[in-house]
Amino acid sequence: MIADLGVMCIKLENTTTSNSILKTAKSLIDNNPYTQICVFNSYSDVVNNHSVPLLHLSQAKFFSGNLIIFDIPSLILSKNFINISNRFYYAHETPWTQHVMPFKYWSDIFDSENLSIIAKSQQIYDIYDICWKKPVGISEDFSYETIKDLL
Amino acid sequence: MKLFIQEFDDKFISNLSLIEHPNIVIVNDDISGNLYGIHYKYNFDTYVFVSSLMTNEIYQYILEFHKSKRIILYHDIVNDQVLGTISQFCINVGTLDSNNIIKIPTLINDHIFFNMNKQRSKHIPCFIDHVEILDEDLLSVLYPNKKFNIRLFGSSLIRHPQNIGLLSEKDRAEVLNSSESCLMIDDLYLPEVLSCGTKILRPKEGNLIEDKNSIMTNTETYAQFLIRILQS
Repeated sequence: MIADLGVMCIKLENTTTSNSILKTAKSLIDNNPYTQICVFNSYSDVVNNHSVPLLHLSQAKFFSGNLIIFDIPSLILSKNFINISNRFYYAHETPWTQHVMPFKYWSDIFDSENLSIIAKSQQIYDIYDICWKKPVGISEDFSYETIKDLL
Repeated sequence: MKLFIQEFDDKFISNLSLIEHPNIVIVNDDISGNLYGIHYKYNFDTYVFVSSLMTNEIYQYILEFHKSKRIILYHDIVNDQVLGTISQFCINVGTLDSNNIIKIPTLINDHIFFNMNKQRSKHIPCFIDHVEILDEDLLSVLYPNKKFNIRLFGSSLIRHPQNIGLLSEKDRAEVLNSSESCLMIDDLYLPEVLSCGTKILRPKEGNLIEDKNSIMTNTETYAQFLIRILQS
């Protein structure tokens, strides 16, 4: 059984990625009936197409359990959430190659003890392993089948 | 002594700005059109200007105030316009070989770079702030050719997934103290690496070779060097 889980999504649009995230969240809920699982988002019409419990983003800081995160702003925000045991970051890019910033900025984000990385591809896996820490696994499409054993 | 240093992202200027000395007050800032404002407001007695950042304003300032102020001109590049003209009114320092230029020796800020006896990680830093392209030997040990835990630092020009950000000198000392070894492509940071007790690795045909032969040569601190050139 997995720990209580929050899926933190700042942006949910009608894209394949967003639908895949919500579909996986729904599968996680269906397959873990005794675990509390919900999506944190401010507002999105896309959620209406999926039967998942939704809480406002601002409530995420009170959540107790693990979090799944998809972007850098969420990583920064969630760093100080005191009730979160582990944060799973779905890494689909290498943001430090797009924005040249001081090393401290990236180090504060990725050298975090309660952060686990799920890589989108073998290349992303290798780069995070080289630069930061070994990812817990690879999930190319963030489907339930590829995620369930990593959480 | 009140010293003003023109802001510049370079090893010498960055370290000069970090000098800690009881008799020296240092301000490091951008000038851009405000040199006379700085002069009249703060009345520094010594100024450090950078040759590659020479402007008409600095040129005029040196002509006007070289008798009442001590002016150090740092020649980071060969600037013929500067060398032939106003350099005669300044204390000239640089890495260039020239009669009128005091050659910068091997320097270190020993209050920043020392062995802090910290726990060290598997990551291998490599400083690339002074290069514009990565050479073949370095590329041969980087991803996708190899998967060594190399972290490249300091370049905003080079796009490589292992290039993970810019470093201040204090961050560099932290990074060196938290790494067992450092990959070196030249000897620019040799005194800093040795002072932090970090092993030296060199890239060679896809492998990392430990360099046990590099030793600390005679080094001066930045503060000693500054005082020496001001007294010369």
